[in-house]
Amino acid sequence: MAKPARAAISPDLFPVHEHTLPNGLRVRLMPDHAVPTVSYYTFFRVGSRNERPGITGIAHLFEHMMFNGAAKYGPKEFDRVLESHGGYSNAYTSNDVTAYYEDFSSSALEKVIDLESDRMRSLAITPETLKQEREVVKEERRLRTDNDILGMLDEQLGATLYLAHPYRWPVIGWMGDIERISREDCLAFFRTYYAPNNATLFVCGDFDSDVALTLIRSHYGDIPSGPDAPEVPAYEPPQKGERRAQVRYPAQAAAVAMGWHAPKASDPLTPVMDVLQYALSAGEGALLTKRLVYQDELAVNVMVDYGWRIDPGAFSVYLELKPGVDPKKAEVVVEKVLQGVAEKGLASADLERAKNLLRSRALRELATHNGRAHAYGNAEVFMGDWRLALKMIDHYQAVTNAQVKAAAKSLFAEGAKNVVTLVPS
Amino acid sequence: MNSNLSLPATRITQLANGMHLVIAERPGLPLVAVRLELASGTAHDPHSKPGLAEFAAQLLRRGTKTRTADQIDEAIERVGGSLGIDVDSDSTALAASLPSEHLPVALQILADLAQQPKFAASEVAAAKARTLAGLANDLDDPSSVADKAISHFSLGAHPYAHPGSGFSRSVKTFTRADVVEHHARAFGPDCAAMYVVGDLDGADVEALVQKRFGKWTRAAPPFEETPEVTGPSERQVIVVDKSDATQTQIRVASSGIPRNSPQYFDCMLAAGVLGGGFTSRLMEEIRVNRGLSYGVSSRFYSMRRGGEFAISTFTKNETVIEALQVSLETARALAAQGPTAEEMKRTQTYVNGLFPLQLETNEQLARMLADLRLYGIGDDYVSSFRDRVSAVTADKVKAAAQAHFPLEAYTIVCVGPAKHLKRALEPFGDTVKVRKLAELS
Repeated sequence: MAKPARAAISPDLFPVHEHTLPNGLRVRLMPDHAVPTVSYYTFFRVGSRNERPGITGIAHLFEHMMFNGAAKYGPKEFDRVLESHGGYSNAYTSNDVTAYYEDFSSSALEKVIDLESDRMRSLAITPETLKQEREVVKEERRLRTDNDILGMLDEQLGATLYLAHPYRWPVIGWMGDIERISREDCLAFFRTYYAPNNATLFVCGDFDSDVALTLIRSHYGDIPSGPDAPEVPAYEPPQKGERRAQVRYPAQAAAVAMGWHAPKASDPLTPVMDVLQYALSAGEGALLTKRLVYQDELAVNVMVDYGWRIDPGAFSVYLELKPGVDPKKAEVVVEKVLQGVAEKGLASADLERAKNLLRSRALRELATHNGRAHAYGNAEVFMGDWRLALKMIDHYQAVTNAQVKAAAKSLFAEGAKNVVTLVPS
Repeated sequence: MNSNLSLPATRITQLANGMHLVIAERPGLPLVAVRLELASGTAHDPHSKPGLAEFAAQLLRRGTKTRTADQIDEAIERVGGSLGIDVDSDSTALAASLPSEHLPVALQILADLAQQPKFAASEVAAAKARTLAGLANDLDDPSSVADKAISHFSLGAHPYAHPGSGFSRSVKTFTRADVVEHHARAFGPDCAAMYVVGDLDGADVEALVQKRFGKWTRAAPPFEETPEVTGPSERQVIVVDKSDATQTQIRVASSGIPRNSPQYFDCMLAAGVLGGGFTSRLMEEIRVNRGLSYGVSSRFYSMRRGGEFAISTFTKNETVIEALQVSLETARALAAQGPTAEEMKRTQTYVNGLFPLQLETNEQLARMLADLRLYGIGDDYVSSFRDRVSAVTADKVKAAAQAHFPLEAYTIVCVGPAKHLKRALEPFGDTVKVRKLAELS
């Protein structure tokens, strides 16, 4: 017979073994033998928020440089050795964090620990590799921003929404800064931010915890800790009125990006923000999707983003419109829907849908070694505790309509809006 | 790497009307994936109506005889589920993912969509408008344009050539009658299989499926078999003119294999050595050594009746010729010399090491089970995969490269400013043609 609905998820569903090495490296081990692979994440607490004008994009460019050779494994060796042992590597840089990961055959655990500790200890930055990676990053910028509608809109939105905070510049960096970042800039960056005390390992998969810990201690133990990272000038003045910008580009249709200042991830309001985001845009029945795509037939696609941030970030709406649609008309409809939530909250069906979709998303993320290591790591980086990866499901369940209404009212207040419109030229 | 890999144990039954049911129980997270797959896809679009299969499939969820579109969305999403409709060259899949305790809801909805869609005139009209808008907007995405263009120009008149979304000029002509007829031919229990994978929460899946699908009958004759694919016979170069682009998307296509080819693993390794992982030859030459691109890859796209081999990359306009030259020379060199022993071992270990990552989620497993059936691949695919990869030799890779890499005959597509590219591309082809961007919409 079927179990009663909604069996509770036990917080011990995925055991985590926590350690901190004397040099400050934090280690979280999550053994699981579902498939014979391991996912190995290293989160460095550094992102574009740690940059300054003149070297924007350095956190991301540096992420590229991390693959280009260290003392033991020279240029090109990192990937060659990893792939030869049945593994794959990638990384990403965000406003707040730089995360490196490998997914590999369980038999390669010691090799991966060796590779990772080698580059944390002794990354080499040569003029040749810097020159090559600079060109690669410029191509990446061309791909994701210069020739991409949403990319160029989002870049302009950041620069409009934030006046002072480092979130105002794009993670990829301005093209001019990518071109001028020097080897000395990179070396200083490495010394400041890539110390073991600024890093946390999340390892999930087919391994023995004691064996893994012993290997990690022996490989990372000798890496000296570094200075505390400098404080980020995180001040952002309160927004005193609506801001608007345009991007003219030969596109098929107009597009709109709208943003409002929002709480940081560690704020108790975060679960409410996530619920609001989902109610507005998750699923075909979501408020903005249903209204703009199916009812009013103005948009081809609607996306809402509330990104978890270390400092207060943004709640954003992105509209890809149909050719010929007046962006102002679409903006008015969005406002109507948002003010509707601010005045009346959500219908109970919409609230329930948002919570249940969030729950399913959280569970699905935990179904793979990579997803689990990442979800737990993310929870620790942004909210200080990996346990929140599962606890958030309970927090979502507890969100009330009154909370959603109050949050929307505060978020979408008069004069708080930032709008960037893509005008087809 | 000595642990045995296998698919989860499956229970397979067949309803009296021919529909197959494959169940794989996976206790653990309280989630389940349900996949209803029909052995009919975009290859069955009428010749004058490319895009019809996808158009008709997406309309299923816009209303049935018992539920409106809103009711369908609510039934699935309110309980935390998602419904995806994916139309591929040879198959159409209705895939639902949701918490285990709501499995009966998924079966009910999928049965409703498959068997009695309404295709209301108003929904058909609205879907046409949405599709046309989407096709127009896709022109702003150079990578998407390149992906559509390469098969379109390389596979000629074959049913695999056109993009699944069709073209504006064809979508404009779709009528409700077209949609109804297509559905009647594509959707029948004889060519349908359902895959249920996950924590079943004690449900009697066989009984539920029998209840929901037992009375399903075919309403119109099924489609004919798709013809085999023939490879290119000349060196063709197409520039799709996107005059504002500062970066050009590049695709190179040559002859491929069907999914169940005996050379499947030889070809997989050849594509891997050339442009699979980060240490592949193309990555090394294009990205690492020359900084020409953020990404380059090569792989075989293999469908039921054939496929293509394609190299894919992008670079600023000024370095398109260099990137093309290097790509073609790299492919030629590998075909001429074959891989080194070190390359073979590295690529085999890489492919084998990562293979288990395709077996983690319910959705992946449902898809894998569906592929085995659709392409006629043996049940031992998963358990024998790594041995078969390891058994490929350097000579076999060399032979696969010689047979399929872009050496004598290929199609090149560049999506970028024709003004800069046309003349410079002439050495690469027997013909160089410029096509307007709008042609791809």
